[in-house]
Amino acid sequence: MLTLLRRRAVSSVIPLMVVVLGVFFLARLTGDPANLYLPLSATPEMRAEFAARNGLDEPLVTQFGDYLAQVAHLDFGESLRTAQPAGEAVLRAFPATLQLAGWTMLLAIVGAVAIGSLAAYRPNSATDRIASFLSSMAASVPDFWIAIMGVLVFAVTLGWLPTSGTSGAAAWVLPVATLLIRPFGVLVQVVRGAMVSALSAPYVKVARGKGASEPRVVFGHSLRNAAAPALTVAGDLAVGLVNGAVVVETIFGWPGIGKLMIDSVLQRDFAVLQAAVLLTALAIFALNILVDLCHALLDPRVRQRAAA
Amino acid sequence: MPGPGPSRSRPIVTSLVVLLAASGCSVAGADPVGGGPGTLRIVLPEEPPTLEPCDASLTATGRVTRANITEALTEREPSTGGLEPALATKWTRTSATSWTFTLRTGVTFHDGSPFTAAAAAFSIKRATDSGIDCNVDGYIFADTELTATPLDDTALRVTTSKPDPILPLRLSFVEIVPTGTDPDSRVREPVGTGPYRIDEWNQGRYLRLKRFSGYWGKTPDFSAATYVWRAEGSVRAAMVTNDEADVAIGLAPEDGAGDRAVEFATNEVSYLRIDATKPPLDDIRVRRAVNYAIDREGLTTAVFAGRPSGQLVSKGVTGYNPRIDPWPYDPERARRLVAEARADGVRTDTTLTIIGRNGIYPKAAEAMEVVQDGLLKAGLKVRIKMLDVNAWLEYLLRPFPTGDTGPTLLQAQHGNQAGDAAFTMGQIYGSDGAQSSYGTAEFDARIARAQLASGGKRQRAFADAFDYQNDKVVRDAVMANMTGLLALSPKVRYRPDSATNDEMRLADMRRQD
Amino acid sequence: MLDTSEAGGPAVRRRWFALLLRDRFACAAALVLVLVALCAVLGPLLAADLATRQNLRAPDRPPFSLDHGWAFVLGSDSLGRPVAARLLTAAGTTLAVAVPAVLCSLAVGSVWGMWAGYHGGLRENVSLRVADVILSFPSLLLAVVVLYVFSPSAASLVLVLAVARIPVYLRTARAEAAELRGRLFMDAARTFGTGGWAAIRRHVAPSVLPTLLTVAALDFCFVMLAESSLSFLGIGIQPPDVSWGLMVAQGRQELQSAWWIAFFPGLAIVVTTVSATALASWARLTADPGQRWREALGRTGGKRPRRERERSAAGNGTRPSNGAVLAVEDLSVDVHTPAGPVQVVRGVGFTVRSGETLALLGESGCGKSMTAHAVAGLLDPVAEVTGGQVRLDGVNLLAIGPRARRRLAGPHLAMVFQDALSALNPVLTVGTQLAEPFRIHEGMSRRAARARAVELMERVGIPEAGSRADAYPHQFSGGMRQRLLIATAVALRPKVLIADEPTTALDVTVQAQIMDLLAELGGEQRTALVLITHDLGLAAEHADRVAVMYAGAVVETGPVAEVFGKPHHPYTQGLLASVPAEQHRGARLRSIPGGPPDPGAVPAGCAFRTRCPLARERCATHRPALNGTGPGRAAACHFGKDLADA
Repeated sequence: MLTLLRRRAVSSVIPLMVVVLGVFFLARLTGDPANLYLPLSATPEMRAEFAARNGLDEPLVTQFGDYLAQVAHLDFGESLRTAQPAGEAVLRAFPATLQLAGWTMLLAIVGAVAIGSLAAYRPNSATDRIASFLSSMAASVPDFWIAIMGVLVFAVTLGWLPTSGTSGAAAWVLPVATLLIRPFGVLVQVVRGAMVSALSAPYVKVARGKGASEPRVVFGHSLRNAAAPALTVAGDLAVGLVNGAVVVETIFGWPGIGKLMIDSVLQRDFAVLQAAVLLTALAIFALNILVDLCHALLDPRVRQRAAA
Repeated sequence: MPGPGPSRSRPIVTSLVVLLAASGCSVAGADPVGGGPGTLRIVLPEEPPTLEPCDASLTATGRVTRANITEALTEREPSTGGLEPALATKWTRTSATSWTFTLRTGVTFHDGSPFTAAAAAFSIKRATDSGIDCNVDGYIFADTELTATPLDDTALRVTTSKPDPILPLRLSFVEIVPTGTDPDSRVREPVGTGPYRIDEWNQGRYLRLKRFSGYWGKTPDFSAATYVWRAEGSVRAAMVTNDEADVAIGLAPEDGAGDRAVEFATNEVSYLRIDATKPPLDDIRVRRAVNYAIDREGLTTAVFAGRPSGQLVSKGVTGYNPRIDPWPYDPERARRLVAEARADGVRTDTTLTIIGRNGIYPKAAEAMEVVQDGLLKAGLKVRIKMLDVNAWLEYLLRPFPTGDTGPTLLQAQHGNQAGDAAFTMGQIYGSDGAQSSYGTAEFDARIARAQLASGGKRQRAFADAFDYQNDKVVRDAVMANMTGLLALSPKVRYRPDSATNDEMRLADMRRQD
Repeated sequence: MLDTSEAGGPAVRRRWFALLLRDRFACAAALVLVLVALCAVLGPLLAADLATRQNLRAPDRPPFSLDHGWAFVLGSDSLGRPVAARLLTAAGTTLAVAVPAVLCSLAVGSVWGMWAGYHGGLRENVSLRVADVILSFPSLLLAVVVLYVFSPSAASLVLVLAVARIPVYLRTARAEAAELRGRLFMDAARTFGTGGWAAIRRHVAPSVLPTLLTVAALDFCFVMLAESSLSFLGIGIQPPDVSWGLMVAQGRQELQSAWWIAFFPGLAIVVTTVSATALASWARLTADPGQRWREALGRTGGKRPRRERERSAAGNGTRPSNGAVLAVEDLSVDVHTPAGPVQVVRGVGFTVRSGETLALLGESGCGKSMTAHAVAGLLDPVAEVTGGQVRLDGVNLLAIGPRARRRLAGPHLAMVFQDALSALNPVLTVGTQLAEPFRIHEGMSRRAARARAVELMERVGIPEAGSRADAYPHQFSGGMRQRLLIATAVALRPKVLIADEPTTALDVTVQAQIMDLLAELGGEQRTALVLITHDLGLAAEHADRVAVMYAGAVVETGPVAEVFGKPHHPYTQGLLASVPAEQHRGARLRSIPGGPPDPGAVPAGCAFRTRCPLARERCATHRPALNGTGPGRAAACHFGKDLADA
């Protein structure tokens, strides 16, 4: 297990560099930020001064070298927009997104396992049909629609929940529910598919032949075998959430990294963008390693392969 | 779970839940929307990027800081266009390039230090001549050099390199800070003389102001104000409906504020900038046709709230010409003009590109579809290219992108928040103005004359210049003077005006009871 | 399992079509998709310029009114354009972006993923890291770059969307391919020198694609909505062209004042996606021979237990079963297929006494496994007992509830399965699996049960049982796994043990050891053993009595030596004659022309008559009953007596 961890950590260094490099150069293809930050009537001298002050007048390679040297000292530069250290802004926003994503995935997985297993238990039964239909619908409803409808119904009409914000547990309900719907829908489908296969495996018959109760058959014997594909997909969905729950963060005023990243792209706030991408990339790599660890925990064969 | 054998994944899941729950508590409860009846709750479309006083000409910053946290020497009354005393009680022009200001006494900053001429001189120097790159410097003092010298504690002399008849107006944008403020870098939480001081700025979540007990003027009704920000208009409106906020600004008619909505005229004017240097737009008939082809009434009915307009400044701005009418919608005439031009060999089959900007005002893309529809009917070829702000800025500002874009119509909006046409004309219509695609020598001369005039002559000169552009130059297709919309809870009494978008005075918001 | 696969293109296509017609949901889904495709093609013709005709004086007309013509039936948008007409026109644009984007990412991602997973090692590692890079890359930045560097067009839009989704397919395909790699047949394929791509196409693709298809179907909505948000940046569809995504984006701001503007295009996206998903999951079931039978499973699956009880209540009265511990009488089993129910077990009856071994003998597909599963109550949901009785110590197993049944499973009746690798749960230690019967039936503590499990392992001859109890099934050899499986079955000293081809997968030496083990256990515990096999030699050596099955029915029964010495049924004769020629499982009986009938098309009268040298007219009209032909012997042949007397 430790070997796996170490190997994955080492092999993540180069891709991480590629991400940083890619973001750095691509961001600079999207135009000169001076237009956005200088008054509309700025003179060429002001532009030159702006570029010089922000190091944008140097050749790109030099800029990148300087940036790497900075990052090595954990200095991620300064935001053009707020004149604050970019690292601070990103670290402030990230936990909010992480918590949102964490709760969402936790609930989505638990719910999907329950519903997916129920559906797979009797394939093509009415339960299965309904679950499949509703889950594929859940996976395809536009999230902003859910969000705004949620606000209108539960906040404005019924007055049960606050419209937005981050204060109190009630404020979590709508964002998490909105965010939850797509991963939940997708996962129900995946869990169902995997459970149908697992439940028709011979070892399930053996377990029934031993007189095992149905919950024991489903949860004890089948679920762990069905978990692998669900885990892979759940990992991808979680990556999507970590990479920015943009719609939810925008609508509900959630001060997360997705909104920050969008804003920094639109505002050409390179330092913040680079810091945000670096941090989310780190999180995504960590998440992928975590998923692999879970695979190994769930399946001894993977464990053996990893150790080899 | 009756799983056989010890499940190794269980401790992980458990610790994950515990971790999440613990961290959840740290976020929850950190957001004090509310805070009793004495607190005014305001929801903005975006968080101010900075509260730096010398960036107060940025809309997102200015509407929080100006006249609330920090104040200037003078202030403009939007309804009359007149200049009122603020931290200066009196000013006189002592020569063509020199003004003397008499300052208010008994004013203290939030940190307890007294307001003096030294502080005023320091603030002016900091805003116009420092390494901070102040937005105000570029916006208001682009081509002016000025020196401020304290004569004594309450008298200040300001001299300019060139004669400047509107210096006191320009100074209404210089927010006064104490001499202890860092002169070389931006401050996060400024100290000012305003009726409110910063209590807590929890970035990303809220900004709370508290009433400043040492304020020199009238004590405002509300003892505190909390700003939060939500990007979605309908959510801002819903917050007022749901009693989570007292004031929501930047709404669109379709956001559903219902009877809480209050309309007000803004100084923003939407227009299309015509690239009159490229055929077929270099032919004035085609430019006129563009104007006739736009259904301004239709736009203000179906797309955005506003009043059709024929000039770039709104009523109340020096230079506004009440005799200019919006162009009528006359598709037949537009078609005739295009046909005429075609008959004379103008290449009317060249594809025009509408360069649009998403979010410039509500339903920006739809507005351009209306324009496109009208132009197509007039017999022109048009495509739309919607861009993000920075990409759009490259088309707005000189030097314009070279390449194969061809003739363009640029979706733009102009808000003259300073109240004098000088802030419109040179930049937008001058032959070499930063945002100008086309000008004529005659027009330039008229602008230059107007800029040096003062008083009634100034008003007439600018008004004539607008008339000249509308009649003889037709560089623009002005669409509408936009109407602003905000929502108020029953608790608050407030009358927004044309400056509300740039300067929202908390002191003007009164308790209803 | 029923294998109805056919060869030939048009026939397959026709059959798929027929199958589609049988599934109402899939049918409706297909219909929706056809409709959408039709709209895409015909939409511009039908709607003409209605979709762009503005009416600024009458915007936001509410839906469901025909006052202004069909085009306004779904209302009009903020520029007064009819929503219905726009919806039609937009279908083409939408599909023109979504379909290529999904197909591109599916094609590139899946091929790449399968390649990476198949080869493993560095190639896998590098591919996964590339996926990580793409995933961590903000796709918005990519979009803005495209907007800046290239000019926005449908092609660049497809490119951005496809690139962003490739990692999803890559990772899923990789995971499944890597799992397959671990299995035996892939190793075999590699040993026999099949080239990489050929092996991927033949072995990996069929098992990976179904999952990817489901993911791809769900991706449709993702792509359509992503296109919608990209239009905010200006890289989406440019007006006056219109797509569903663009309509959703524009209607979004008016959700409160004019809900219909965003609702109907949103609904179109949802309905299209749901249909694509439904069709994909149907195709997945239909294409997978292992799952195809589920097609036929309607609500019957859910109701079966009740029906079972109803039937048995009306069942035959009891008959004395002369000391037999297990008596099967007139057992019939139907399998539900897409073509309707097929009877695969047709009135089977046999008895076994304590300490006795009965061999249930027959070719593959003759229904012997199905009989065994029916007796043990372990039929797949698709199969259903339609008649007969199974008496264990006088209790009719088919008449009792699932709970009572569970109490008997293990201590009274146990089963040993064919393929020990798949019959052992790969993710649980063997110790856990062996301890399970004790935990379930004797309520033992974990520790005590484990001790018993170790004892059992020692008993079936597994060396170092104490330490190996914590090992997983894949760490044991085939023979050891079979021993483990037997150990599980005999853990609670069952009265009846059914062994379904317990030695098929093993080599000859191990076969003998396993059979000896079974015999030994049977001897000391007086267990009645039902040995299901196609191996005459095995039956001859280890069974006391034999029941020969053909086409779902017992055709002959009696003591092994006697039956093999002098068969009373022409089928048994044929079987015996073919023994020397039989080299491996599934070989056709050389001495009997033809093959066993398809369970769906069993000849009327005697099932064997089409292959029988003795067949007469009577055989075509009357089904022979299993009648006594001598002491302890019976045969189901009109000429059984003649053969006995011959």
